[in-house]
Formats: sequence, C-alpha cells, structure tokens
Amino acid sequence: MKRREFIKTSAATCCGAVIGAGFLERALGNNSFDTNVSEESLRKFIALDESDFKRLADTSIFLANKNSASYSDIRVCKYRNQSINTSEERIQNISDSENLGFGVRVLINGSWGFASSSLVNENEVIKVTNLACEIAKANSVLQKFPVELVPVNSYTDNYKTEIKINPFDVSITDKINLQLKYNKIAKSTGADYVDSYMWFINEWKYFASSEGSYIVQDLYRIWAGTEPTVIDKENGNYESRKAIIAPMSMGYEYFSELPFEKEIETAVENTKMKLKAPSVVPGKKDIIIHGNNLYLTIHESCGHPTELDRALGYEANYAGTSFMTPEKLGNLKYGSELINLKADRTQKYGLATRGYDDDGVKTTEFPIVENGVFVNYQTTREQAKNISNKESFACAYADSWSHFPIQRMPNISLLPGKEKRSLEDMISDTEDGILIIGDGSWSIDMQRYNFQFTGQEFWEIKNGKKTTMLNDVAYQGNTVDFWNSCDSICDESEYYLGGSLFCGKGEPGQISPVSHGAVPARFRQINILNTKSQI
Amino acid sequence: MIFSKEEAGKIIEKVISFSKADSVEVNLSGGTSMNLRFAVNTVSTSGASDSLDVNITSNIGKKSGSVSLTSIEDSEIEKAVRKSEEIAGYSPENEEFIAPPGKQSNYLGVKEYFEDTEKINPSDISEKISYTLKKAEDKKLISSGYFEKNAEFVSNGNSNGLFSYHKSTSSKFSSTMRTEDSTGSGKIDRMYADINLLNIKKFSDNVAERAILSKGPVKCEAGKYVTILDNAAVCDMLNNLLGYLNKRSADEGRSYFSDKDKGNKIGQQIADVKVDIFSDPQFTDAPSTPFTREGVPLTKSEWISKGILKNLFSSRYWAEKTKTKYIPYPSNIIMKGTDKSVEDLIASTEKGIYVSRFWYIRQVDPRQILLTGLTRDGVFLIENGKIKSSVNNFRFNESPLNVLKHVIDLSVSEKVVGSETYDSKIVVPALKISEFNFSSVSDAI
Repeated sequence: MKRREFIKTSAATCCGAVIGAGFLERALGNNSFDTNVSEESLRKFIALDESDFKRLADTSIFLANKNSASYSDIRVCKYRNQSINTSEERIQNISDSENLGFGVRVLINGSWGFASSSLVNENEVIKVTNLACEIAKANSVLQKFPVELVPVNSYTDNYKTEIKINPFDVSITDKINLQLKYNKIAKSTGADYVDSYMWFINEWKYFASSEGSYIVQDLYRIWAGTEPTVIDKENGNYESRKAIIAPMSMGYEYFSELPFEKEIETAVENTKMKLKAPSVVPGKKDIIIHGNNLYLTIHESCGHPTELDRALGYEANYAGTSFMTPEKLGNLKYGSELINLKADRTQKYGLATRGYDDDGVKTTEFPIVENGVFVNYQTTREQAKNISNKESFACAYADSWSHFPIQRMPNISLLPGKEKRSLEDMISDTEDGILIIGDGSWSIDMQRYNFQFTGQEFWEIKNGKKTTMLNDVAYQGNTVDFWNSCDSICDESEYYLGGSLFCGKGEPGQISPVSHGAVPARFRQINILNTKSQI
Repeated sequence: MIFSKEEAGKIIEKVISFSKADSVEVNLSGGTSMNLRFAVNTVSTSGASDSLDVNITSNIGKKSGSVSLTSIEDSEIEKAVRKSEEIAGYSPENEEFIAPPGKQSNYLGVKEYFEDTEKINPSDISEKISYTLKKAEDKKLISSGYFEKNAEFVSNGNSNGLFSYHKSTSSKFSSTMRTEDSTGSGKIDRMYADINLLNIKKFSDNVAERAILSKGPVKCEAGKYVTILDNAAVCDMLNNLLGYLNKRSADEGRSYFSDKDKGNKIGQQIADVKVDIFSDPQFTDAPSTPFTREGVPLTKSEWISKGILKNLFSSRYWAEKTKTKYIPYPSNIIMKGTDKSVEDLIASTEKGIYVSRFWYIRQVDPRQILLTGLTRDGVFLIENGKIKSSVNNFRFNESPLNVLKHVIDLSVSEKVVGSETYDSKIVVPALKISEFNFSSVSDAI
C-alpha cells in the first residue's frame, strides 16, 4: 500500500545539518538548561566527516558489546529532500529539507533493542546505545524463541547511484521554470487546471556493524508528475488523466531523457476524450494491461505476498499476512508458464537499487516466480533461516534513522517474452477486449487474493483493432486465477519500468521506494466492473 | 525532545531575530517516542526515538521559501533563515500570497498532555504486553500487535506577533489475534492521550473473543445488505469523507460538493437527518491541537448538522477571496451517537451483515466519492436479532455519503482508530444502514 500521510505531511519532512551538543545553551544564550555536554564536545562534533562517523560507530559497537550484545549496528543517515508543487502558473510550495540522525540496533539474549536520535554526537550515541540495550533486555522477558541471524561477509565500501547530473546542483529557479513550462503546455493544450510536483531525494547513510562492516551509500531518486483537469461546465462534469512517467533512481537527466512534454500533451488530449467516452459495459472480458498499469498489479499481487515476514505472520497486525505460505514454496502454480518474475536490487534506475541492504548484506538478484512456479521469498538476515536459507537476499530497509530496518521489497519485474511481440501485434491478435493504460486506484486484501484496479485510460478492442475510448473501468481478480489466465506477453521492446516512492509497511509506518518493470500482457476473461453503476 | 512554552518561545524569537525578510514564520515541533511490536506470540522489533523539527518560512513581497532542519544551533538556524530567504528570492510571485496572521489571543485551553503517559518505561511496556501474549496462548490464538507512546510539543510563531504552543501525549495499543487454523481473526486499535484509559487487559480480552467468534466463516454471496458497521469501520469512512470537504475544489466545479447553480452544496441535505458531524479541539474524548499549522486558533466547526452540509474547509486565501468565514481543516472529527450499544443495533436487525473493520480503502471515482476496500477481522451474518455465523470477507464499492444517507440507527460514540486513520482523532458511533454494496467475495482471513 501507499502511504497518503507521507504525501500529506511531506512538506513538513525535515531537517538540519549536523548539530552540536550544548546547542540549547547557545540557542538560548546561556539560559539555565542542563545538557551535561561541554562546549568542547560541541566543537568536536559540529562538523563530522567519515572518520568521525567511524569513531561514533566504534563507540556504539564497543558499548553494545560490553552490554553482552551478540550483534549490533549503527546507521547514521542524512536525507535531503527538495519538493516543488505548482498549480497553473502559481507556486504552491517549495521545500528544501535536510534530516540527520542515527539509529542503533542491538541483539541481546536473542531480543532486539533499537533507539535513535536526531542529535549526532558522542554523548548521544552513548545514551542511545544504552537505551537500545535497556529495551532489548526488557523485551527478552517476552521472547519465545531467540532471533538468529544468518552469516554475512564484512565489507568496507562506498556505493553511489549512477547519475549524470546531480539534481541538487541544479538551481531551484531552473526547476520551477521547467515545471511552470509543463503547466503552460497543459493549459495551452486545453486543461482548465493543472497540478504538478517534483521530488528530489538524496539518501546518504553510513552503516557499521559488529560484523566488521563500514559501508557508505549515496542514493538518488527523482520524480515529477503533472495532472491536468478539464471541466465540462455544461454538464457539471470534470475529468483528469495524469501524465504517465514513473519515479526513478536517476539524476536530473531524467527530464531530458524522458518525453515529458509529449506525455503532458497526450494527458490533456486524452482527458478531453475521457469526458466524452462511453461508460464500459461490465462483464468478463479479455484485457491487455500495459506495463504502466501492470507494474502496480505486480507490486500488490506478487511483491507483497512473497515477503517472508508477512507469510510468517510478522505483519499480521497491520499490513496483513499472505496466501503464499511456506509449504507452497516450490510447488504453487502462481501463474501460467509465461510468467517469470525476478527480484533485482541491482537493476539500473530501480528505486530499490543500492549496494547493500540495511543488514549490511550485498544486494543481488533472484527469481520469485519461474515459469509460473513460486520459487523464492524476499528475505533478511533474521528471516532466511526460517526457510532454511543460508544467506539473506538483502531485503532489509529502514526509511529513516529513527526506524528499525524491516524486510522491504526489492525491484520485482515481469520478464519480457522471448518471442517477438509488440503491443500492436497483441492488439491485432485480440477479438473482443479492453486495453488498460496507466495506474489509477488500487486495493487488495490482507492476504493478497482479491484485488481491484482502475487505470488512467481504457480502450475498446474489437476484431484486432483499438476502436473507442471507454470510461469507468475497473478490473477485479484473484491473484492466482489472474496470473494463470495470462496467455500472451510482449517482448522487451515494450518494457516499462514503473515504481513508487511510497510503499507503506510496518509499525511505526515506514515507506519504501521500489520499481517494477513490466511488458504489456493479455489476461483472458477477467471481471470488468463499471464504476459508475456501483451505487 | 520536548521544550516548554518558554523554551519554545525563546527559540522562535531567536529564529525571527535572524530574519531580513518582510515576514518570517516558524513551526517548531519535537518529541520522544517508544514502541514495542509483537507477532507470532513473541516480541519482535521495538524502538525509541527522539526528534526535533524546525520549519522556517520567509516571505519577501509575495514570494515565499521554506526550509527545515533539526538543529537549534545559532549558526545552523542563521544558515537556514538565509537559505529560506534565498529560496523566496528565486520564487515567482504568488498571487495568492497572504501575510502571516498576527497575534492571536483566543486559543482554547486543551488538556492533551498526561505525565503518566510520558513517564512509562521499557519494563512497564513489556509488563503490559505480557498479558496480551498470555491471553492469546491461553485461548490458542496467534497474537500480533503494537504499543506506542509519544510525548510531543508543537509551537508556532511569526514576525507579525503570533505565538502558539501545545503539548500532548498519546498512548496506542493495537492487537490482531488469529485462530491457529487461520480461519478466524479479530483486531482492536485504540489511542488515548492518557495512558490510564488504555485498558490493555480489556482490549486483549475483546480481541480474543472476536477472533474466536469469527472462526470458520461460512460462504455468503456478495450483494447489497442491511449492514451494521462497527465504530472502527465508520471511522475509516468518515476520515475519507473529511478529505473531500474542500471548499475550493467545490467552488471550482471539481468536487462532489460542487453545485452547477450555487457553486457548492452548503445548506443542502446530503445525509440522513440523524447525522451530526463536527470538530472541537476541546471535546473531552478526543482533545486535539487548538490551532492550525500556521498557528491560527481552531474552534468548534459543524460539518453536517441534521444531515445538512453546514461548512466546507478552506485556506485563508480562499476564504478571503470568496468573502466567507475562514473554516480551517480540523484537528479532530466527532460524529454524534446515541445511548444504544452495538448489541442493541444487532438485536433490532432481522437480517443483515455486521462488519468489524475495513481495509485498503481507495478512491475509485472522486465525482461520486466512490471508494473501494475490503472487510477485515470479523464479518458476521445477523438473523432474527442474533449473530448467526461468521461469514467470508467482502470487497465493497461504496460511498461514505451513501452510508450517511442510509442511516437507520446509531450506537454510542467512541474514540477508535480505523485501519487507515493513523493518528487522526476520531469519535464515531457504529451505524446500522439500510444498504451497503458488497461487490465481491474475498478469500482472505
């Protein structure tokens, strides 16, 4: 699921550069606050570099070890977020924020403890490590079976997202001008209203663990969107259709390498068509789902149910469990033989792509579904042993220094068909169907059986031809029936990499960025709803 | 970390003192938080965090720029103030700019801070949760859940003289229990400012009972039924509806609440006469922040009264432009109930469906406020005033307004947490409605 709260409150995401201790006295001009920190230590930590982080990490690991921790790690993270929101020719919001802090994780007597703080200095590291140990000890009373981690190599490494232009080197003026230009294109093509946004994200983190790893990662993500609305005053109606361009792990070259302007024009033209499009006749239909819609179906119906923590019941209180329980591993016929779904945290442009996960495990690729059969779960160091794996698939991630790393989804993609087949070929091979383009709304149950998706745009297919645009379409399905009904998939020339920055999971809630590649695929006799005739 | 009113005031003054802009607005917030998670009848991940946020907006003419940071170090603050001024400088003029509000004197007094909540430590938490784990084991159930306590403050100030401060605590407990054969599931989710109201023993007993009652569901066809939505289900419906009560989109003709002739639907009957919905930061069961993010006082606002739409929320700009009273987005939402219990609603029902909670609710069509989602953690068939059996889960396609139009009866109102309402403070009754559209069956438990 996607967390709306994050989007709502994201303008308020935060915060600052390296902070010194003794800050309070300074900020308040020698008022009576007892911070227990000397001015000397303040000066020491006011400008930290990598060797300082190593020293802080070693302090924490040493202290955890003293407290009988069998394992401990520390993540010092610095997030930079820039966002720009505009409507028509107006700026709605410009935000530029930095957020720095660290989290310490300890394993004592087989129980986890975790604590974190936005103050990065030695005293705070000591305080927070002690609190993490106190929590671990308090919780061990409730521990029924000890947490065990599968082995990991130790690494000292640096990893950076491959980018051509650092988005933070581009001025805000340039970014605003580009966005206002997009809005102008939308307005001049016929939009009454247009809302646009841009996100620039840099996730920097220093990870060190008692296994001897010291890993620095510098990750970049980018997203821009434009959504025009056209009003039909005569009939008191309105429609919108967003420009379909996905977030990516990419630099500012995103804007020159992807066809924004053309896509915004298409969005407005098709919004106008949508206002006049006839409502769909519900019933069972063959549907061709474009990669720009299917990526989200993959996310919900394959990505989430193959998370091992869900399957074992660890997310039962919020995200839910999974119908893909461990006894089905290796024998569930998840889909037709055409279906190959691969997890890959090394994929170019993938939002979940990085060098190492938050357990300090080197990222990798692995099959989830092979020729239709369910063959692997996503795992972390803690979970791997539950399915007798000797290594983790490197799927641990925490969205903040203040959160505990949990199992999060790698990029999971539908592999293109080996036979040559374009979308045109597939349409001409379809007698009576609907083509679905773009993601709309999405909803799936807590065990990932029953789903309902809409889209941005729908087309009737009759006797091998794309005929008229349709409106008010939703498709409902059951995961295994749905993937087994797939009888045709396109080749790699139609590959689309979709994704989301806001996949939600865990308590307290965490978001995670993840991509899914897909090619158009055809599914036979799927239940189509008319969303206008529901109430 | 938590600052007192005086400390917050001094920090805000300090930020303002660095400003060279026409006006500067500061939003300062921080807090401490501690949580414990459990699953499969054992503790899993837990943690604590300490945080601080300083948000600075500088306004130059009709241009604005915002920056946020976690530091209150002089040099860092000064750097941030300069940066926000620099961003404001880049920005094009915002025609909709309104100068920050001036000094306010009429903040409502709200008690949302409880020392007992702030003081609870890891051993206390572990002790409280041990009852839940034992209860589940005794009843042969598989439990999972979450406990969290927070102590927070938020303070606003600006160079036009405004200053606001609010300190609060919250304590949360939720638990899901599933039967060993995976055919039954129950859930409870509660949040109170005062931890002494968080009766973990009672809540654990309730969820165990609901899990056992929901075991072994029988097949039930999708369709339209007389339906009783428990408080938690109503909570999600109402929270979703709130987002649509936006005056500007209504006035602009892009909302369900648009009216071709009158602009918007204020004053029109949009729900059954038994429906009264309002917000009030001082409401005892759901105390909430008595000011907006800009620091403007929040007072009692009526949204729907006797089924008539009374107000839509707007920005200060839109209120001024349309020459209407500024009604901001609220900090809590309350729907009036009766003195009846859910059991009373069931007893008066000849045939119907009783829904415990919803899940994964998403907008399908904003023009109708059509939402889809699923039932979760206990659905029951009612026959002749009694629960006859547990039945399968459903997907629904329905509108919260349709629900409010078809109200037959209401129970007592309670503060509950829905499946997707997170920290929203919501007090709602269970509702009995004459029809609810279950669109298909879900095999999920």
